Amino acid sequence: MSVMSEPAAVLVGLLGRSAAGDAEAFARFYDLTVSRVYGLVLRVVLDAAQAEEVTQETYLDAWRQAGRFEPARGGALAWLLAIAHRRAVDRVRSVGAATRRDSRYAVEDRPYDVTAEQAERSVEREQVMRALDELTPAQREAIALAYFGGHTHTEVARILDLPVGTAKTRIRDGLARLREAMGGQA
Amino acid sequence: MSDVPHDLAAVYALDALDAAEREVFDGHLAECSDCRAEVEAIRESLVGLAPAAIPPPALREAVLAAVAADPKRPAVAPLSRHSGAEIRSRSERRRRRRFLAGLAAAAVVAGVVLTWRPWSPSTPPTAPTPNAVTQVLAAPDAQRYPGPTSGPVTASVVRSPSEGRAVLVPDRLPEPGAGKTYQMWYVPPQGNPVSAGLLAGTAPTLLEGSGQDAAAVALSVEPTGGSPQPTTTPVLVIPLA
Repeated sequence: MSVMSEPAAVLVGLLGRSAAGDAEAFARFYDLTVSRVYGLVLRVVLDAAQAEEVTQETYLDAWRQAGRFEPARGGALAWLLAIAHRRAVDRVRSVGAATRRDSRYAVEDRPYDVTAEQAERSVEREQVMRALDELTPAQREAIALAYFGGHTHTEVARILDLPVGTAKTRIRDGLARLREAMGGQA
Repeated sequence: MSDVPHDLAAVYALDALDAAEREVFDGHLAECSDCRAEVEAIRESLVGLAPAAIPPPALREAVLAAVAADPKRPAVAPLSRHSGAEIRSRSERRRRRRFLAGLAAAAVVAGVVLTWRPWSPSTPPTAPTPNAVTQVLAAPDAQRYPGPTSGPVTASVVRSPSEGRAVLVPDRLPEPGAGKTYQMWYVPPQGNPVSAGLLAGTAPTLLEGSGQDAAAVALSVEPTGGSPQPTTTPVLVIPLA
């Protein structure tokens, strides 16, 4: 979709310069993206100190891997958030299920808070809200448990008391709808 | 789980596979472009779900300090063929193709006529001069020209008009292969490229000559000792504009 095309192009440019060792470009890249990275990581790890650590790891990864980013395969923010999310999930899992906060947290807390910053991206926000409305509550729940709760699909099935195949199907169908509603990248 | 179903792509994109499943699916991804495309598309649609939160201001300093102190540049792979994960060698082949295709465009941007045919003989390569490298990099008027970042070889050029010299700063530099070396060339707006010496390992290297009028710096793989004229298509062209 064209909603983010302009900032997206800026991010791609900054990432390219970062790959060439331009630390100033990387600082700008950080400034333009950190609220999303930190926000996502915090939502998953639920702890400010750990969120800072994971955010730092994420940017060090991004700095080292900038040269491997392929604009043809997707946006820079999607690339960065994928790094951040995987690290956040790995952190949560290494901490262990025992110390994890209530797994329902991610479900009950709305997964799309509107902060002051995001209000500026109102076009994108509206699109996301509309897209989420397209999902069934069951799909939203399964996706939130996995994406924000950091649970594996097997755990999602256990938490929701569903057969593994059903949980997987909910996630897959929900993401397909989300993708379609977000403008269908296919 | 030896037979990986394609329908795990969505679960994978959510990072909702366990470690063992993830590893298996990583292997599958290397071979399945459909799944790669699906994962990318899902990640794109997930961007909107990421909430925003303002981190403590000190985090910025910490991150940038860590980056500045990080001597490690992206891992490199041999130019010819990658021995590691298939996904990497595939993507590198793809990049390389795109890169070669983009060469002509780069030349146009730089206003360079790239005729890799008759070359002027050049001076034999000499050892790099570390002090001169530092002088150029530290010069107040030093200017950095980043090269294209999509190819297997990436580097930038730092040039100082006051010093009258330029330095090539390698970023990703795969092994050129046995019996081969990287050679630098100044590419004038018109006429033949002129050798600017051999690249000394992966360290920043001073280019021979001032290259005052050069429109670009190019890098090619040559037999050890270098060539009086390039014998291969350049792996990198960095416009000096």
